[in-house]
Amino acid sequence: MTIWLIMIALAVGTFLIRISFIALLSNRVVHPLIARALRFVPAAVLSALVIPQILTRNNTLQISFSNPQLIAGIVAAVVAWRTKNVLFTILSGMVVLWGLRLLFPGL
Amino acid sequence: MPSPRSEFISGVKALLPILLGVVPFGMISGIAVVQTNIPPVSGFIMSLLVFSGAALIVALQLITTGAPALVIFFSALVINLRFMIYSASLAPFLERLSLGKKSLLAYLLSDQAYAASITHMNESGFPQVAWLHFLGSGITMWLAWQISVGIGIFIGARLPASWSLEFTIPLTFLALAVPAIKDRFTAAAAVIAGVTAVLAKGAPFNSGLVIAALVGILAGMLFERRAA
Repeated sequence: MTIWLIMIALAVGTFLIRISFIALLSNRVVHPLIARALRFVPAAVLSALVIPQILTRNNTLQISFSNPQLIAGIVAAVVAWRTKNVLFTILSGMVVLWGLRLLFPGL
Repeated sequence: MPSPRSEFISGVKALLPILLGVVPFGMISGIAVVQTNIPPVSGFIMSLLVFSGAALIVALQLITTGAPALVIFFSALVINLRFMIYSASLAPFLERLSLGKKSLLAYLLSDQAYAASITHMNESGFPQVAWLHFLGSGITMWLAWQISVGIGIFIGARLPASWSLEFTIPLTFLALAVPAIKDRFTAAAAVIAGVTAVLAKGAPFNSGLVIAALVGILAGMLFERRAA
């Protein structure tokens, strides 16, 4: 039950963000400080999301090159940077992860 | 003036090439949804309600770790804060529309529909019809997304755990994070947010994501101001 309440709150909250300047605040000018902060949202949020997930294995942080996810993540980051392609990024990361597991079954 | 129909169709066409990235992302989101042990039909209804893959996955992941409801809510919303940027940027093109149309277009607002339409709307001299371009992109994206999520949910329950498909989730976000780094200031925000997120992994109530995002945003702003 709680899970549905969270989802409905999330749906409403996301909708309010989407409609914010389109309808609710349409006559307001975006405060310059808010505009400056918003510019950093995608880079900061996505990075805060990705980096711990890549470094976490079996629910513990593992910051070393014996963590195949770290190597796969670095390769995928380079691919993302060079190609800007979601599909290539995912494929390269997964291929490296599977490859390392195959080569080093102990990892 | 272009006809409403041709504006709509050109909006649909502008989104089609992006589908190459959207379909796998949607399918992976669907797979991720079932991996959090949510019943498939519930997961699909949630996807319809929220229409935001990243926020949905993060919310479901936090739910499985038993995080408090407020933390789940704010963690997912902080991911969607970026829509505020798009909302502000689209507002001038939609100001003459009824509240009903504005609401529909707001619900359809996504990274992809925005990217596919904003240049056209900026360059079109006909705001009376230019919004239909966005409607065309928005509906196409919505349909492709929900169908892909549905397929992902359907096949996700049948894939073996040994494939480590859960790793496709951070990889997908990585594919979005890297292009968000546009200059040294956004790079600083990303690095500091990432380091903070690792340090704050054990933070109470799983609040690490929200804390790290705010620290990263603040760091980016401070670096930018010092350089100015």
